[in-house]
Amino acid sequence: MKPAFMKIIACYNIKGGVGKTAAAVNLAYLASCGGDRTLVMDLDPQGAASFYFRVKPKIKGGLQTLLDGKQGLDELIKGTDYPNIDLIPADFSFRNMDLFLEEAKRPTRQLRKLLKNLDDDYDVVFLDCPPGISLVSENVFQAADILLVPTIPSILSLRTFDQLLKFRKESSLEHLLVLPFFSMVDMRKQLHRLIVEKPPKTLTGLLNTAIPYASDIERMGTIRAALASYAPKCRAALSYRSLWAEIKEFLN
Amino acid sequence: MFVHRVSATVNRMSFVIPVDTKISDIKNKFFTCMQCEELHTHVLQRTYFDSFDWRIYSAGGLIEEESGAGGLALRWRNYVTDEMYSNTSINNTIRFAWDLPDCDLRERLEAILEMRVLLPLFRMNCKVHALIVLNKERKTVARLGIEENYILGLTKSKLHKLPVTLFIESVKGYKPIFKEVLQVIDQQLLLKVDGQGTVQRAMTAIELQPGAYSSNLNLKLSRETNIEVVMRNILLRLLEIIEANEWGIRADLDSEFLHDFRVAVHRGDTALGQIRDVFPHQIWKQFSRKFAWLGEITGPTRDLDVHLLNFGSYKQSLRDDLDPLYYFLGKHRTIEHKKLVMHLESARYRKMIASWLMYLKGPLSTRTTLHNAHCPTYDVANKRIWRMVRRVIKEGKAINASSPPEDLHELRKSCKKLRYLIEFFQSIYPADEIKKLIKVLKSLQNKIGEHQDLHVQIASLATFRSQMKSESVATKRTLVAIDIILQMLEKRQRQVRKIFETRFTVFTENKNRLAFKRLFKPNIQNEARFHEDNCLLQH
Repeated sequence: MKPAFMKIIACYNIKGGVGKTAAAVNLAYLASCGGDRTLVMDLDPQGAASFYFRVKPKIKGGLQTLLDGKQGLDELIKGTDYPNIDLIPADFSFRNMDLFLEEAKRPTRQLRKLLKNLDDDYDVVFLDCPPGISLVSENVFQAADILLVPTIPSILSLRTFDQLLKFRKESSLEHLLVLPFFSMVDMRKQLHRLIVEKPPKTLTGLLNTAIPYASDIERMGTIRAALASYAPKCRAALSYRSLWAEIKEFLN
Repeated sequence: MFVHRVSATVNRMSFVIPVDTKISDIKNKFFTCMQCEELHTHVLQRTYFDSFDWRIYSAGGLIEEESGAGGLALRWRNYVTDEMYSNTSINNTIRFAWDLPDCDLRERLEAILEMRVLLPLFRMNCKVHALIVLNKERKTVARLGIEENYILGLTKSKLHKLPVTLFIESVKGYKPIFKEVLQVIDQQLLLKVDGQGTVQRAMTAIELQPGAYSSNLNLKLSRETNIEVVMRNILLRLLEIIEANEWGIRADLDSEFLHDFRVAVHRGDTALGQIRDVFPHQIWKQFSRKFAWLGEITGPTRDLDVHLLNFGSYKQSLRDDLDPLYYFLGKHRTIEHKKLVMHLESARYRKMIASWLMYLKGPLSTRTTLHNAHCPTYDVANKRIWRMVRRVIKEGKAINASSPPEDLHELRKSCKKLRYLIEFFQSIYPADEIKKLIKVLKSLQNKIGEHQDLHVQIASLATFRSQMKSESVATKRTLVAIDIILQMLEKRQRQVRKIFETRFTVFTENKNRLAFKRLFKPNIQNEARFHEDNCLLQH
């Protein structure tokens, strides 16, 4: 089911290496298969999402061109291997995004302003965010309708989720829908099993689906494609499918 | 060479592949000239839809339903350029725009289709050989497709093969590659651009005439023609509209079939009532009775249709409390619709239509004492329209703040008659001037119509309320909800009445009066001009 207006879903976690990019790419693929005009914005200077989509992580003119808005965003967007998914690739200059934003007029609302221009062109936008809490993250919080938080069932991951909730409260961002889900779950590990079976109450809004730690997902790096396009029936692909079904409920 | 824009930055172009060119040769040419990869060849079934009155075609497209391995999808297909918009995945076949989930396509369709149902026009089996052009990173930088289309038609007739086409689609951000592919097509394959589009080609092949049905009269009359001939033409055309809508009413496809049917009946009634002394009295009486009967048997279902069409706006404010009212209306509509279908299938109705047709197609009266029978159309039209214009102005002026709704109803009827008369004869007047006057009249009619509809709705809702209460099918909450709706409708009626006053003032503005006079009272003007000229000569 397609949402009435463009919805922005940010894949975000303060912690790195939790499966943000894999979630962004795979969920974008599923959204596009359902007929949604989908855009992925790779905000991480490492450019992993761009890599998965086989697009060079390079923007002509770098960050300045992107945030200036003088050159139409349309010029920077690249089509991908999938007809319904477009990408705004990452650029190495994104590492300085905080500095750029600081100099802008309303520093926390720049991303929101930028994406508003695409309201008629896309149904869903996925933001693949860099880790950490910075001005970039604040921009993400202001722009996103849903903050999707892949969370590894480990102590440190749970701790960063608490930090995120605390930050949301302090920044008066209660309206922002935060949806954590378990990611990279390895049920052979006792701690993972314990946390997944009895999630802590602090994980408010936790989605039911857990994404397993799977070699099929790791193969995304060698095949450079969305998981469901090369292994649609594997356990991990089915998990992403069920995760997307849950998220769609919130979009509707 | 045209390049069609699929979205802001994606271009799509189609080419026709000659019959003697093999698909494999086309593919091989691409493999030798560029880094290409062949994807799966897939078979799709596409069904094309429009409303009975071709609303989507008039807006430049058709609705395409595609089913294949990827599931079921619905989209807008531009029939000239073959462009696709608003692709939407669906689970079941969609009948009305409101059956779609909230999406771009729904938004677009709701405005065009309104209450009309989507009807299938034709089906095609489509075999697509998909190819992609890759860059060094083995990333898709352009898309190609060779399409073999077979029209199935709606009956199980023989497959009809259309010419094979090649389409090319650019990928955002890789425009230079698109140009390279075009070069190969132009210089190596020597293919011609498809200027017609597959959809239009298919419609031509199965002789499907877009716009074959319209509820407009679309009569081309001449001023000098005998009015009896014209009256027969008008009534024949109305009979055609009535017959065209019968099946849709019987099958209960959408409420507009009955609406168009009733409008044709009212138009016929107006034609007979306003242009008298054309047919012998006996025939005139027979026709009038027939129209009255048709109005009578179709009225109850239409009244309930109006309530059900307005139900969405009621429900927006009062949600679930109104469900019992909805079921009540639906139940009664089913009963009334069954009665209507019985009437339409009755021998009386069949005989009536047959005798009507026989008379209208029969010979013209050669000897007649009837006053108007042999008058030129222009004279009769002028006389009747001018008289009706004066009546509308007179009735409208007599309405003040304390006038009962019945007075507005009378004015509404006069306005309708005036509108129908103008529409019957519009082809004998200058199109631009007629259009302007119809616009002013329509604007006035809309408000009087809304006022009267609200009046009827209030009365019938009050009746339904007491009926529901006596049948014990409504809870207290439902009754309260109906009371709230009644209050809302009464408030709206008061607002509409105020707007009516402004609209009537506009209608009677000097420029409009003069325009009416210029068109429909030319003799007076000519006489006045003659008088003026005489005066000038004398001085």
